[in-house]
Amino acid sequence: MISLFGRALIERLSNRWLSLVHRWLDKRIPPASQHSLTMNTIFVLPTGFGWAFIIMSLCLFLLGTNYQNNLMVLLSYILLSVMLLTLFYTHQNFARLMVKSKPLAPFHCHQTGFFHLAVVPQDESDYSDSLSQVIRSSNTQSDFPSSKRCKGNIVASWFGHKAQFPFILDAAESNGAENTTQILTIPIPQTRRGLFSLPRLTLACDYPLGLYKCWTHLDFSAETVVYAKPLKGDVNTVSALNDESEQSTHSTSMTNQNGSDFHSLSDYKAGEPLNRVVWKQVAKSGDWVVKAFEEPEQRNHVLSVDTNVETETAISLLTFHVIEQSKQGNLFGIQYQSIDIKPSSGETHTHQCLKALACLHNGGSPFEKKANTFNAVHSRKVNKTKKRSKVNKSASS
Amino acid sequence: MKAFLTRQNAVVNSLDMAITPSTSHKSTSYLMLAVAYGVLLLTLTDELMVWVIVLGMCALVVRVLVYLKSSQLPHPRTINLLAVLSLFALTWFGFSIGLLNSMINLLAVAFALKLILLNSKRDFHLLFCTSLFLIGCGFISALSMIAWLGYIGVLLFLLLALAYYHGPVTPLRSSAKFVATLVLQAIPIAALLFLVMPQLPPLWQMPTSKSQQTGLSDTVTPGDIASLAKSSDLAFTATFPSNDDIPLPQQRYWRALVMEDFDGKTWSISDRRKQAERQLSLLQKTPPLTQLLSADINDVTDYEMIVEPTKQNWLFALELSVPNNEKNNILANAQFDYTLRASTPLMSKKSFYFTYVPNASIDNAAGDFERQLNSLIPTTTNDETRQWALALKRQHATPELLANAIMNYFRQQGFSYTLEPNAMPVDPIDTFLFEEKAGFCAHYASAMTFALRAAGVPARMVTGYQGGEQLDDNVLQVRQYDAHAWVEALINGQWQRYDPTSMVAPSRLNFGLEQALAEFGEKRTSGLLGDISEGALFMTLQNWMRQMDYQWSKWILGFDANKQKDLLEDLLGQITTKKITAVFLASLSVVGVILLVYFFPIKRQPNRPKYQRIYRNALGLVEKHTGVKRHHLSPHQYLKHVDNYLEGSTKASLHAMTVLFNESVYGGDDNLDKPLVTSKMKQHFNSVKQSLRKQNA
Repeated sequence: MISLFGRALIERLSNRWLSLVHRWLDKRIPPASQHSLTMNTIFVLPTGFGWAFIIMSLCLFLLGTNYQNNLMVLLSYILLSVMLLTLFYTHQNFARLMVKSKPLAPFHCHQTGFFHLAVVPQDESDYSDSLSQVIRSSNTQSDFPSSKRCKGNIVASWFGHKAQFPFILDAAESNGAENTTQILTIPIPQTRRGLFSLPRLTLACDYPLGLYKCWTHLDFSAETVVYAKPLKGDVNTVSALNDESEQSTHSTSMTNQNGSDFHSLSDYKAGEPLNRVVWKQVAKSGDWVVKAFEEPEQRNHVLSVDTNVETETAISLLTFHVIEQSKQGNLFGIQYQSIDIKPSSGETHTHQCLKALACLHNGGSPFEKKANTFNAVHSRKVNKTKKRSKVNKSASS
Repeated sequence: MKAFLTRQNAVVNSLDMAITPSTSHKSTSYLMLAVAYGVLLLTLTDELMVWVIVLGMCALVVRVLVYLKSSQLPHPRTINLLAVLSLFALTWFGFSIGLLNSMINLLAVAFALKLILLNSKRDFHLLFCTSLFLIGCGFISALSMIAWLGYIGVLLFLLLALAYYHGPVTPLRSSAKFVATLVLQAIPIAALLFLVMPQLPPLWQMPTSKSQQTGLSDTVTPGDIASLAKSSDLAFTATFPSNDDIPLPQQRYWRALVMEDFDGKTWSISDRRKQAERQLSLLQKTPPLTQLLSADINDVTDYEMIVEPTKQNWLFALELSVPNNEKNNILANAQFDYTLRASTPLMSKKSFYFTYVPNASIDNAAGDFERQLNSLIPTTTNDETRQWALALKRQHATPELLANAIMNYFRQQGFSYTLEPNAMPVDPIDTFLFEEKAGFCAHYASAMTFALRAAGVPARMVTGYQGGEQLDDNVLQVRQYDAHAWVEALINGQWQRYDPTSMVAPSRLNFGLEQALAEFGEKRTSGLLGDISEGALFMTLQNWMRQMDYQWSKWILGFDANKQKDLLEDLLGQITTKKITAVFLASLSVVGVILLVYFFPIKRQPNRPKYQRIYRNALGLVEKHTGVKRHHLSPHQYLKHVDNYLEGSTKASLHAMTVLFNESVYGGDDNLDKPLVTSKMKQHFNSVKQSLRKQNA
């Protein structure tokens, strides 16, 4: 009983501590899509090996003092000076790192999502002075060779997660390819659907001697939508006719069958699905024409699932059908629980639907009727730590 | 979650595949570490047992084979077995080689075994630290400047291995450059620390190495010193205030040990003497040597000796010298036989300060005890000598006459001075005095002491060094071949010095051993080097090396709290707490400045052509005048921005400049007439400047 209470207390304290740390970090390293490391954003401490090195130097000092041997003392001073200088070299190297986040692609929760981070050479990224840029490019021989870049092993990890992803900087350059922007691909540890903002990314480097570890916690203010896992199965397709007053007809059918009759050709309007374009015609005459169908109303679905189906299954089913509908270029909408999306088509619409499904009962969705968007985002920010601890728990279990 | 983890593993594995270029770096740095270890082993031959060195070399060979991919790493079980065996061997030999050496051996063995299995970052770091410690151990016995440079080389190599390991794609060359820069930058900081950090006294007693006591030993069998004469190692260096203070060659007797016990063959320090010394010190009696200075003696000389490590307690000093213990880091304690003992064995080069009292006499400090102790001789051996001594005693009334008679005997009876006398196993003194009549200093001293004792005159043998080579105006260097033995006889309550060797080879005292031997047709050293060493070039080189070594010993090895204090006093005058604080703060800021110089070099302006600089200056003026900042606009864009703010001539000039700039930079004309462009730019710049000034006025 007491231990239970104690554990709860410890958990509360650690949560409190974490939120403090995050508040401090937010102030110190504000979120941005591009980070170039500065004095404020770099943390440096000796590694375990660094401490061993210091202890060894002190041992040599003691030995030298006890034997009254100046050479040993001198050796220990040299080692300590090397330690001191390496501090600066490690920092100097790491401070040359400049990273830029690439746009995040949404992914389904049974897949691994990847966060792409571009390592930009600091001297080339100096766009503030286009003149010097011009001049530098006019000098064909670069005055600043690769020595000005951050080198060594970079270890990336998500704040609060144990998994580490090592990278070698400038690996491409050793193969002779200069001036290439290296992209670090970091897996995103997310297995649940929803809208998540990525935790801070920790980058660490111990170049050149491994005596110190330089690290930083970067917030790229990147949000990712993790779609629900698609599940094959039946859903209710409600044909939403143009006239809304008309009664809906329920038909339980696989909506992926495409049995519509061709009616006529009409001019292409921007936003119409590309798979209806009559490519042969385009190739022949250059006119963009699309097929018009006899029963356009029937292609205008609203997908829904019976309430007796379990929510997660329903979401998975809907996700599957949204993808299918989108592939066929149909006009479709969703009506499920609090989600109510009018039929439409196109990539943005598909994303909206999938996002709405992903966020249902999970961190708030902009399409839920009751949900206040601002609150959802706000509560997400606040709940960040809680979520993280949950993830940790599930990881440890 | 599990699925995620496996996925993640897959990702990590695929990343590992990408890391493969670094594996060659890893194995190369492992090999470099192994090579550094091999070099360290070879420098530690004094401390390490042969089997340990062999084991270490095997480990090195394993590493080389693994590197060449012709062999797999051995199974850990094999190594564990080897470790158990080595542990047994270490404990078995451990007692005979002393605590310090067994620790070093243990370290070397553990290193070798771990080296064979080395396959992880952690182990690599562990071995790196251990090899740093092995370097430190190397300094226990190797103190010369050459050794220091060599070990710094090993350190550089180790750091290179470390840098190569941690720079997975850095080429070896740039790693080497980095490490060299790093150590070069570290040396000034280290030197500063060395100068200002307090030199502490030993914090606790450390185990000392049992092996290799060098120099004189505390027992003398005639013939021993002859073997010492083959060595030209430095014994000590003495620095006098000036050239005039150096004693004459024949007075340079460096007294070390007094041998009062003789068993018929070997002279040794008497056990009864050791006991008596202990008792006297327990009674807190002060030895007479320490009271020497209290008498009014004017003619004294302070001098400093840098003593090479002997790993023994006893010290030597000019006959007679009083230790100046206020300045000595290791105390030099006077004994009742006027010899000196250091408070700890000399494990490294050490400075000692003495005051030389030339005309002092050695008194009988312990009364009848000394008289009795120095009259004992074994009564069963050397009959002939005893008869001869008794006969001499009957002829000569006083001990002085008797001693002179013995000295004359050596001079007149055709004795010769040689490093390689024949062996004299039975009744050595009889054989020497009446048959061989050839020997080294210890033979003469031993024979004379024995004869005096047989004739009833208390006498003892003294060993030490005699002579010394002048290195500088005021510096004497004494080498092992200057080792000498002479006689002290107790006459009228004072111990008088007799040197029978001087009767046979008078040049020994004035010109040294080599000259004395040459007169008897012998050479101290034989072989190739003997001829080379007489060449002028070689002599110069040798002298130069000796000078370097002397400076090294004096300033680096002998640098202690006193020298530090002297140095600070020279710089600052009287030392106060305030000044010491200031010195510390100053050195801290010096370190800061050094770091600043290293890491924040003055930012150099990029080397642009002159016309471009002029253009930029003009833009600067315009910015200042209009208050419109250019930021990162292109020249044309900026021109549009500021167009409205400018007036006639300024505008025209700036337009012209912009056109000129764009033409010359973007024109792609390789044969650009730069001087022309520059002069045009300058003209426009001047007009801009003038027109702006007019407007401001």
